[in-house]
Amino acid sequence: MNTDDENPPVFDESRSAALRVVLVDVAEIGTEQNRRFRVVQRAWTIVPASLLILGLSAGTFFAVQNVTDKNSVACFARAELDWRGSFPGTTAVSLVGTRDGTDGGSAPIADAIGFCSDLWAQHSLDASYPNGTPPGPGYNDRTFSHPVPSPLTECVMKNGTAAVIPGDPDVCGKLGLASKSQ
Amino acid sequence: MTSFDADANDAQLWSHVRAGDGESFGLLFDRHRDRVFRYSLRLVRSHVDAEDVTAMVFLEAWRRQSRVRLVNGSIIAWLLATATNVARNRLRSAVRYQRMLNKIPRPEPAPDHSNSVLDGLAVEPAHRTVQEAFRRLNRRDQEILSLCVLEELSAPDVGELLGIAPGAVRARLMRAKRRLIHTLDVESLKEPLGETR
Repeated sequence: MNTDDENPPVFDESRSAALRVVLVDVAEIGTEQNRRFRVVQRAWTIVPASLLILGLSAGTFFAVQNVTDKNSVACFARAELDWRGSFPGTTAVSLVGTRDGTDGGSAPIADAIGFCSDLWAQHSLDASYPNGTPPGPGYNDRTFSHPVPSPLTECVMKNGTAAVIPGDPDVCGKLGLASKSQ
Repeated sequence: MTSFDADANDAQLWSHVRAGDGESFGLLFDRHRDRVFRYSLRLVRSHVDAEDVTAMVFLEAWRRQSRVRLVNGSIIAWLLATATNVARNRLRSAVRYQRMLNKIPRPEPAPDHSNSVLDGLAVEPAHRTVQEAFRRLNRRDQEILSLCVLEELSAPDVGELLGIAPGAVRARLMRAKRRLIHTLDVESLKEPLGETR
């Protein structure tokens, strides 16, 4: 897959020249760009450090919590969570079926780990995909025999819903989430 | 400060960059621009995106200069590994470097050649399938496949870059290849599955 073509794609020359000017300016000590960039760099160091301290405090404060919202469960495909609360996997609800096919609404989920285990077994979750879910229903395993990771741990999201995450019980703390109170 | 000439090796240029010599950074850009750009083209969908990723890779090198690793005296492996991360997080990186990127002129509107420039391979449907499967892999798998297979770096070099043992590089590469093959199998099954529904 190396690029030994006769006409390899090339970087646009005018954009390249402009970029080179920017890079030289940024790296050259004493230029305005250099000074600005250093200020921004310091800010990026200070802000994450502050967030880390806040996160650690919050993590200690909310170390154990009850699940207060059982209408949905966050099923994680991997133990990753960004600062916006996004994670690889899916937020799932349990819908009530009715005989006449109308929408019966959602039902509370009592067993979050069992609920997410079912999603794993159906191959609705897959850690090898960047967003944690296969691209479409064609990938689903109707025999419910897709491997379920072990162990799965139940944590509590900031909004009070359960989060089921592959990993040992300490995975909650690592992601800055509370463990579910027993 | 005196700049090195174009014959200076990466280690010499980089030490001058760290001392605040802009022209040395320019020389490193001249030397490695095309390889980083072509590597980035495999990871994103358009020519312009690959140019932006290249720009952000060099800005990252300057911003994170204390973390840059030279492998066998060359900075290229670090730049390529960083391109994988920047391409994956390019929205976040673009926010960080927006002001800098605004200084680089946007290309004139032109017909979209994005699919035809993808590594020169996209003209073949089979190659496009491989590339789509590659893009579905997670960052670690993309990184190890890109460095070991596409860029043909040795396991000890990649190990030095990523801070892991060569044996771990080989094991990670094997797993990544297996996942790529699995993804390709799934891709090839997708059409028939769709038709049965």
